[in-house]
Amino acid sequence: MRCLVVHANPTPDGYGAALRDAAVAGLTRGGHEVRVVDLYAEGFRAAMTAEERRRYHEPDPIVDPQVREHAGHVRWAEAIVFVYPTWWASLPAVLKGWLERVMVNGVAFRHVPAKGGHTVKPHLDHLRRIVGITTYGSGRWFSFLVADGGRRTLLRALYITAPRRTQRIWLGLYGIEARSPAERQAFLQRVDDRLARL
Amino acid sequence: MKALVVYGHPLDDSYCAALRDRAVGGLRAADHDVDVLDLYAEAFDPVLTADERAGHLAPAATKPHLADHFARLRWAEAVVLVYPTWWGGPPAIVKGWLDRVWANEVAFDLPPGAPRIRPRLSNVRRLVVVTTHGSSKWVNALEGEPGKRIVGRSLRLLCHRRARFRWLALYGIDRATPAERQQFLTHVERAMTRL
Repeated sequence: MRCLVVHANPTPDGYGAALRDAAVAGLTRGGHEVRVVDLYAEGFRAAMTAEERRRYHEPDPIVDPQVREHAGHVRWAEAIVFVYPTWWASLPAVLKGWLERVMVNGVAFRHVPAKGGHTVKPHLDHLRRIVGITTYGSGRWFSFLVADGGRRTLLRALYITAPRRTQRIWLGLYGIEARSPAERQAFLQRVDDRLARL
Repeated sequence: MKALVVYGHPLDDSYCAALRDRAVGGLRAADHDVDVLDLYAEAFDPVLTADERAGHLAPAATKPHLADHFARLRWAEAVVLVYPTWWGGPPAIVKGWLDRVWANEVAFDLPPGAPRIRPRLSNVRRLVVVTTHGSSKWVNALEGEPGKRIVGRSLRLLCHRRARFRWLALYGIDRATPAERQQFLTHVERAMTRL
């Protein structure tokens, strides 16, 4: 399968990077084709610009060449794997901004006229897997009950633009501050194993 | 009441800007003190840096570049977020304000050995979101309203124990009539006069 790994973590050599590497190692071992985009390393702009917003409803709303390149990766991908730390129950701003600027009309969905305005139709027809790999400061039940905004954004809001048969896979390490080195290591292994049999 | 209005839309001629103006109008009419933080106009950088991540449990004084934002948040008795809902939640520029400004010694404390963070924004007694959704209420319910949960639950827990959360949302704006848009503007203004 063609897999796009979207990595968002400010620390270049931290546990987040180890998670990304475990994901890439698992995918490679499973015989998948992998492309990685590292949003921090690329200096990806998070906030949608005024010009992008003005063009948002046009057939081709993309302005920035970097965004166009990322849109090409999305069109290529059969699986998108998100690797990020959960902050305030959701995605880091740079990853949220990536969705807003890359997953636009003609990439993730299509604007179509409807009574009184327009509506959106799913357009990620080529997508077979959405995978989220994240660390949480808070515990599993607390995260689940309070918000789990990141999971809802990726496995529900983004999923709506993919075919119904698209599989959704969630790998979370909860209460990370309290996890022992062995537990952290075990989670890396779990990520590696799960992605090898994507 | 001292109200911090945080606005996150790139266009100043947008419906969202009109919502901000009506919210501010309502607040001023009711004699509240208003500070408007226009994240795009102030060119706020929403991307939390590697240094900030490394020092995320360091004292607030170690981040002098954010001191002004910390002071504005500590001053507020009401926080009113005005933004368009994109992909189920607040736009990146607003999310980044949360990532960077709702920091240790401002929004929370983590004493040594404590199992979890403790709320610190006891100054905030009202938390309000004014937002628009392109999609219908039904689609948002299906998505599980991530934006509403992030603010109404996750952030609400950091505010005063009895802080009230208010959700003012116009769903299905992509197909809303001019009358519906007008009605929501009025609704927001009235809600703000009775904060």
